Amino acid sequence: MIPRERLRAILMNFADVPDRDDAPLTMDSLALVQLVEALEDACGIRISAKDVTREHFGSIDALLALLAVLETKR
Amino acid sequence: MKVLSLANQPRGVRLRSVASYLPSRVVTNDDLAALGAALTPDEIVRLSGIVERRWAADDEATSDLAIRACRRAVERADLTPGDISRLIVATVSPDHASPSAACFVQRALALGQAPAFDLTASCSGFLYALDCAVRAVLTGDDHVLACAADVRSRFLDMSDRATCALFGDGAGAAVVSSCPPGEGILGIGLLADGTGVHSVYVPAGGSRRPATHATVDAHEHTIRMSEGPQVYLAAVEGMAETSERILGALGLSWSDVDLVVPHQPNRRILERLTRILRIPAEKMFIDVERIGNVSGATCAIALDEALRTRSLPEGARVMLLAAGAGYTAGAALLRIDSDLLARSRRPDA
Repeated sequence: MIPRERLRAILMNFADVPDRDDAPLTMDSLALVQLVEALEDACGIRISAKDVTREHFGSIDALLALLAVLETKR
Repeated sequence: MKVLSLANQPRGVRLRSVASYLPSRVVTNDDLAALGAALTPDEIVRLSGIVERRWAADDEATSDLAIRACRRAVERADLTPGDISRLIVATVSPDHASPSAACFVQRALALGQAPAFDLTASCSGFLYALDCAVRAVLTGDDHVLACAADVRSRFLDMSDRATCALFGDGAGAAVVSSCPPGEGILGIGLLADGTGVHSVYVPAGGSRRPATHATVDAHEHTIRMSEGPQVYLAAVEGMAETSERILGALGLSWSDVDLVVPHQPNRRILERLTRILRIPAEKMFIDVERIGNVSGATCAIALDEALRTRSLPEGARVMLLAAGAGYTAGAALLRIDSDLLARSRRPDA
């Protein structure tokens, strides 16, 4: 599973990363697409259209939970 | 998705000719900026890879573009309009809500009493029209005109960052005819997923929300794309799934395919598709820089250009694939014959 700090480091390329992991994440649509591809490369997973929801990409905690699920399907 | 494999059919179906028509007006990214686009020219290139696109003239409608492409396809096929059994026009921007754009084309081409109808499948339009044409030929039609045409420039909101720069206008057409079994089109398949009905859509102007002063004032007659990243990923997934199911049904792999001619929504999508399909970049035909996204016509326009400009050998296998709003998707695997290559490459009259 991707370490929390590694995820934070990836996110910093695409969004303003909040201090708290449950705080809202915001980014524009291009940044979101680029983040998806960076996460796929980093985790060796495939993120589908149905995974890209506000629920899953709304905070670092939520994103970590999604990645954990997708990594089990790898 | 059920793949229609033509290997076991009593007759084969092939593309006898392919043609396209692009309006003459070139609209660059600088032109869009001058029109008040919400993106700068640099942003447009970075987001989409599109440098320019064609727009219809003020007095041109969708059927005008379709007529030019269909007429060219009939001529390239060495046929006359009287030889055409059926006309299918895929469009999301018909001249009028009623009647069909196909009937305008039918009249202009003097197709006698050949049945003519529109179908709506957004950016998958040409694949859906091709599927209908294949089935018509399998059940007895001689030569079917499958066309896709759109004028989406009339439905753009220059203040909308998600859509203002993507779309161009144009038409593509193919004459679909019978051939010996085992030649021509090897397989074709379509799918739809209605969970994407609001992914890319025009909110008003239909029966749910008819045109009023309020809908016009609110720009609700223009294209809206609410969730760009999902649309981006869904387009790739739709094209990958349909094409891989066709290969699976035919017992083939990507190494058996010589060229992939996809819908051209934007360059980033096509680069992701190339990575996911694990095919060499040179197998992926891309012309989005100069044409933009011409909705359902894109794939046919790209196929016409590929046949004319790529050094494809006789027997080359070409995968057409498209995905669009709805969601819809489709793919077809073709074996290119020498007649089609020759007809595509000779100068038009």
